[in-house]
Amino acid sequence: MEKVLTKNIRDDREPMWIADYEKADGWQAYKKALQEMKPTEVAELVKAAGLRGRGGAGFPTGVKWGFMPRFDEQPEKRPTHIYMVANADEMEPGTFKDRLLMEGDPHQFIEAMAISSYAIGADIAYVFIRGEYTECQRKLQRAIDEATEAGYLGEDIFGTGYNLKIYLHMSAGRYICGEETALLSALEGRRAVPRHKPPFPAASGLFGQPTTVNNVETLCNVPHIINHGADWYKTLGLHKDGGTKIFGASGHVARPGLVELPLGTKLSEVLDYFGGVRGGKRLKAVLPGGGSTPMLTEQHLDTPLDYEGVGAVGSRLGTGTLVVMDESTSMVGVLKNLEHFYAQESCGWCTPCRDGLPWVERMLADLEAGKGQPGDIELLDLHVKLLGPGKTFCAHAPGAMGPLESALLYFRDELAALIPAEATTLDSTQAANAVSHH
Amino acid sequence: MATIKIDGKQFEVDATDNLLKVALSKGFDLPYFCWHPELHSVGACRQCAVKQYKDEDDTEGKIVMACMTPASDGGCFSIDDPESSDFRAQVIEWLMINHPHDCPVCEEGGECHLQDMTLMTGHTRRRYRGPKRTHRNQDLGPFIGHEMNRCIACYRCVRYYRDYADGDDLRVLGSHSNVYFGRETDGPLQNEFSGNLVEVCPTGVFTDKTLGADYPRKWDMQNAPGICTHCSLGCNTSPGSRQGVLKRIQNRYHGEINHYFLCDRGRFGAGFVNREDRPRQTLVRADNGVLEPQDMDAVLATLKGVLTEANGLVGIGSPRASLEDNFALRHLVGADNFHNGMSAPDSHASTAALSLLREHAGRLPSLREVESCDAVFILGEDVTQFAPRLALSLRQSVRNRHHELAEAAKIPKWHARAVRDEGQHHYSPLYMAVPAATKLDDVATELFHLRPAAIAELGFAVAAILDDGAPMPAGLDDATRAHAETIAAALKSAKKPLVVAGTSLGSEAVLTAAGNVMRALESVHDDAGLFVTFAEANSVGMAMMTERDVDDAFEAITRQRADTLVVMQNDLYERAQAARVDAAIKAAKNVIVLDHSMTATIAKADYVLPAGSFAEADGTLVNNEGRAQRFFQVFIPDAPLQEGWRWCADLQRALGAPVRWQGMDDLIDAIETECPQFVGITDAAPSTSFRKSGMRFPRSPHRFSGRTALYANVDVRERRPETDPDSPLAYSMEGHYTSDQPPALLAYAWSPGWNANQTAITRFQDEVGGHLKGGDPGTRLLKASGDVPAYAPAEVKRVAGWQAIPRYHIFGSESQSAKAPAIQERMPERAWFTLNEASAKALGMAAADTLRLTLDGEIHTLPITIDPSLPDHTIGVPVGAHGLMGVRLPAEVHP
Repeated sequence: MEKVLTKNIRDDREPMWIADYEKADGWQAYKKALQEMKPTEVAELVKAAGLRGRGGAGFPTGVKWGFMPRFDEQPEKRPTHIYMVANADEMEPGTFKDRLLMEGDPHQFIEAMAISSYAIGADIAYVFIRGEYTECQRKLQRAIDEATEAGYLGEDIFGTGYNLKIYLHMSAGRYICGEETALLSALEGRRAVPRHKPPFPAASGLFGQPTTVNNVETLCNVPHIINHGADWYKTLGLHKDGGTKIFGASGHVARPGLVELPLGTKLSEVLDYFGGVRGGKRLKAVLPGGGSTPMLTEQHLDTPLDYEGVGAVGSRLGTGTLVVMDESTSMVGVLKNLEHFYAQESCGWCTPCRDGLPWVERMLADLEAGKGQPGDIELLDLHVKLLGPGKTFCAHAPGAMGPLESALLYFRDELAALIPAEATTLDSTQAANAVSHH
Repeated sequence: MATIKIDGKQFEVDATDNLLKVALSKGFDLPYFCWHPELHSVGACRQCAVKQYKDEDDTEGKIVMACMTPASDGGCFSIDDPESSDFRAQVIEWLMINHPHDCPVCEEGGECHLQDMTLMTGHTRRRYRGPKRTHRNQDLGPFIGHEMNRCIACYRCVRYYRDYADGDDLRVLGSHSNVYFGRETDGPLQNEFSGNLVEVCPTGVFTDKTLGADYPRKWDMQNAPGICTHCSLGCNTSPGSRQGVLKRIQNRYHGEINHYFLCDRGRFGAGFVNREDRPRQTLVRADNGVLEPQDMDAVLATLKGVLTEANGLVGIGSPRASLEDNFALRHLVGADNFHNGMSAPDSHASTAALSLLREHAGRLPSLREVESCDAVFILGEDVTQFAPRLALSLRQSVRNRHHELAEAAKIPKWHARAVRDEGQHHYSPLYMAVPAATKLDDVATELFHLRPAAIAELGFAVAAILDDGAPMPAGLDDATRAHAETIAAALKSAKKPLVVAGTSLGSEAVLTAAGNVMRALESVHDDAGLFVTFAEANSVGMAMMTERDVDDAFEAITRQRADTLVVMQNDLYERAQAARVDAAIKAAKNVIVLDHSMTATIAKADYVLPAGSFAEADGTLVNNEGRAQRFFQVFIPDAPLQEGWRWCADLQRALGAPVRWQGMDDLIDAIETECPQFVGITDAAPSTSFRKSGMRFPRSPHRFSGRTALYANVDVRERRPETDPDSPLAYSMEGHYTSDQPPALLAYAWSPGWNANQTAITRFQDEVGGHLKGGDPGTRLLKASGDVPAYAPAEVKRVAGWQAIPRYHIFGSESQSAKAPAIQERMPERAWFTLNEASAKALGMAAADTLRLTLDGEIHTLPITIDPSLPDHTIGVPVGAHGLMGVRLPAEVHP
């Protein structure tokens, strides 16, 4: 298979610096875009290629760019700044694909950001990068410096009148910063609390200005689309969704890691690439795209891993990085661990998420400790329903309910069996009275 | 307008509102927490969930948050729908996971929004089995108690404190289920409007510490409609009492003035009423020079002799006393012998300011209207310290720019966070020409730190630029002209420009200049407004009553035109330098003081008659916009303490002179007859005989308890309820209490299911956050004449050398609140003369050195502190209980 995103990445991860990158046709797409294409043409091309967001939500990138206001007709109405923000806050449990792209080929990412900034008319771009990714930061900064030195960034680039500066922003942490509006709040120096949409960032984003936020991997596709065209890009995928995808695997696989494969590759084939389930054990479940995607099981091994394919079996492609669990795995342990993470990472803004998730975590802990009571499973069901989309402020709690919902579907008996047969339902008053009688 | 359906009923609503506001305005009981009529929607608590249907055929619908849903035309909603009501009950169950069950020992109990909402959703049974999280509480100073364990994380406190009041020291810390609302370290909350947290917090996290020390339940309190007496703005309050002790001041909603918020001086400044050292007996100075209690009748008999033998009476009224008290004294001593109780400079400035009010009577925006002004020019006033509640309104006015930007971005006005995210640091213009740094500087567009004369000059220049017909001051320098042009341009291009000036600097020139700016602005703008601030609660009323000031009174005494001084609720040592007061008191044969608080004047008086404070009397005050407002007795004081006007009537009767009034109604009639400038004050509130359904209006909620037992230790027989001879209010929980209550007689706010003050009031409003049903109370006394005032000449008298100017402090500069224990804790610890570095150097001094300053012949010695914002050769003098009293400022000085 043709490698696209990882073609320049060496096994030792030492990146191509600017001279080598240019020799490998690097920065050519940027030149082409700036010198031969209008910003809207770039956006249209990306739309035609059908590129979808690789951060988890899978929203069509060209469509997102199309929401940005254009000021070609009325340059006097152009706001002070238009922003491009790269979401490099890779914190989804089990996900480490953007790190590879930033560490392995920083120039590809910076070039991609520059082209994308041009496409939306941005004059300032921020890379909002996970604080722990110090290696990425070091390499990206060098790439930015080299690109600035080479005249790819700065004022009046190639004499076209286009200006662009790219800044790195090291995140102070918090999973919720991966939510694009929480990211913008954090970038402004405020608490990382998501914003209500509408208004969407394209209308009122960073510092109230038009803004687009894209995932690192998403952006890295852009130079290749410019170089080779939309039709070529579409052929890269096996089904409807075009392009390749960095798939990854962690957990109970023989060889955890990352691989670039066509979108639509079957789950079983992707697992095979990583050597299959460790120790010859049977697969119990897999989180297909990070901690917040509903689980798949053995019955889903033929599922093509693309947006439509995974969606059709009730989950989401998410980040495309598998978390694999073999048959020996305690499902309640997995869930408790996941819900602990999501409860801890709730920003604390809305009630269901802030106070519902710790309760879910506690019920799972009770189940695991043999302290479950009749009704607990139903109470978990209720939380799955009431922490769902539209009822909470953002997608954090619904995401957290993804694996729980699927576990209650596929492993309900296993969970229910954890409730001791002699257990009765006590409400808190009864529980207190029971204690006082002793 | 839009037509929407809620539970099958059709309503005409404003499409620019959100569904929650609409539903509450239409009388639905829809629970909510994070929304507030002034803070708007953020969608955090998820409590106001309702069902939204695509159309009438849609039976599925989806859950939406009412606060985040526009009331768009054709909208179809259900509140009763079981799925959404179950969700609302579930939200309460989540919130209750960590909420302690300490209602019985919580100050908030009985007026707790969380209690109300819990009952409203029907949540009763707890399923969570784990432990509750706990927090450490903080000492937030003398005003606010802090009990974080009760927190339900609705974010209202920080949204109010940071986003509305622009405070910086209360923030949300931590995250997830461990969010913490407090300061980084213990310490008093620094914002001047922190007290509103007590009412903004939906439960007992932030409580009134002055109440918490010994609190009764809301339902056990006896209240009255009150008017704040701690500045000139006339915010409406609801003082609450139990068994003759004033327990707290709560906000009383007034749709034109304070609406939901008070300042901390107003909320916590009433503690003087409960002071032990108040005069509560009639006192007579004995031969040994000590004031001793004497029977009321005996004192009156003595005073009959004193007054009969007096060789002329001089009456000194007070700008902090009611029209009634002042008028009664005027009646006793004769109109020609009555004085307004203001210092000479304050009286002159107040008189000048009153003429401004009269000249522009049609264009005096209310405090609430100030919030919608989109360009402001302040001449001279440090509003946060002098008329505090105005600062909070001005802070909203600068955010009009946010609303403009949001509107352009098609963001609805109620979408609070989006409006802020869009608005960022862009503010509407606010230009301030003031002598030194103020607490409003953070939102000012540009600051001009000038002496009074230069402020006036800048004002005159702005006027001349706005209108060629206005005189330009001679010899204007280029910099001042440039500043004036900037200000004029901002005012001219605004939709609703506002000019703010006042009496704090004691400078008539500044007021005159403000008049010219206003006059010029009116010539180019239809919606220009003028807001004038005065020193005290009844400064305007007293300026309207007479121009004679305290100096005139002293002159009458010292020139021996009269020998008997009668002082009503006034400390003369606040009004003139000590030597002059001493001289007048010495020259007077007899000094009779009627007051509610111990003062330096009482310490020199021959006779003291204990007069009622605002809590023990009815009366009328005229606020800074010329609005007459009535306050009512909260509780009946123990005899002989009684209203100032009753004392005057007693004295008059003792003299054998006829008294034309028996109670408040007659007295108000008499005021209108004898002083026609006050015609209209009758309408400030219904008269004594007013009834609805034949009933009076209760001072206490219907669950008032212990009535039969309150005085059982005195007599086991139940006391008869007291009858109020002066108002239609009842000393009882019985009477007429419905949502059509006359707004001036609303002693407390309660409605079924809504016990919290700020939510219960909804049922008394024409719409949530709007006007009170039946009209916001009070009568504007000043009517527009239609005459266009002439421009004043642009003449400015400069002080060439050193000048001393007054500097105010919200806690300390107002004398009554300065006697409240909580306020005293927040008064500046030391008094300083302030001056800038260069001026200090010119005097060969450094910070903390001691400066001797001669003011009006008296030497005052204070350490200095450097304030770089002051103009050169200018010395700031702290005025009030925390600094110097009775000094005449501004003044030329020779340090």
